[in-house]
Amino acid sequence: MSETMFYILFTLRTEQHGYGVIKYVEELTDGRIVLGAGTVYTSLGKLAGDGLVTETSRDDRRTYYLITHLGTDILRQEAERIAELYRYAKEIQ
Amino acid sequence: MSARREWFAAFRNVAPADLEEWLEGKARDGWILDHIGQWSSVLMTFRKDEPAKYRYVADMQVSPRRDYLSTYQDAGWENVGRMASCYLWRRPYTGARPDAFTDEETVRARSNRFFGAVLISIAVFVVGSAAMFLGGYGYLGDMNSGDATQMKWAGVVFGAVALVLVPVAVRIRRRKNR
Repeated sequence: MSETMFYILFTLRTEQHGYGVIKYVEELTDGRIVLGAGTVYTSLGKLAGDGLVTETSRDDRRTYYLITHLGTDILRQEAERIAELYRYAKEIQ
Repeated sequence: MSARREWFAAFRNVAPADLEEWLEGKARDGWILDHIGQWSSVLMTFRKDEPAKYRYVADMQVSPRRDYLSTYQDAGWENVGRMASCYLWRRPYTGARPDAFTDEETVRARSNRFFGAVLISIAVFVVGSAAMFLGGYGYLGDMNSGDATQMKWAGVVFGAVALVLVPVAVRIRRRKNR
């Protein structure tokens, strides 16, 4: 899973629209990651197509998304993989 | 206020990154594009203004979801318009050049959408050319010699368009990571 996908899934543990994802990730990473609008829009479409997120509601302009059970499982597996990497990485120091 | 017309700009800058860089160069020279429409691939009109640093982004979306426009607009992008299925966005900037596509996967996906559209066009013109030749040589039914000649010429034109599109596809493929 790419870093972009990880952060988008992580953000969508609570309901968000596309721009909300951009702002949340920017704040979470202290500005290190500023996702582009095209990247977020494209990624949300792919994640929804794969069943990892779902549309929850719409207003006149925005669509809100939320992670699904499958998405949560995938996110958890990825977090475990990263945690394992971190444990090994600490041995280097 | 002076204006400048550019003919066939989208045909001269076929890869999305080519078109973006060309438009940004125009803006740096003070030539600003107010709007694009269905025929802007043929003719674009620029107005003279102060030199500006704009980031342009071309994005092909055949049937965008409802939140397509809002995602870009909320992030500070101005919709310059669309020609066919190609949306054009821009935003002024200082400092680092902003990107609408910020990871390799979506940059390639954007490029693949343009590449796919060109491949479909090539296929349509190849099939059209073949059909015209088959008709012109009488494989699809009888016709008089005048009609047959017209069909053959149409086949030549369709085939020529398909051939012209091949280097376009190659160019887009070569810049797939931009």
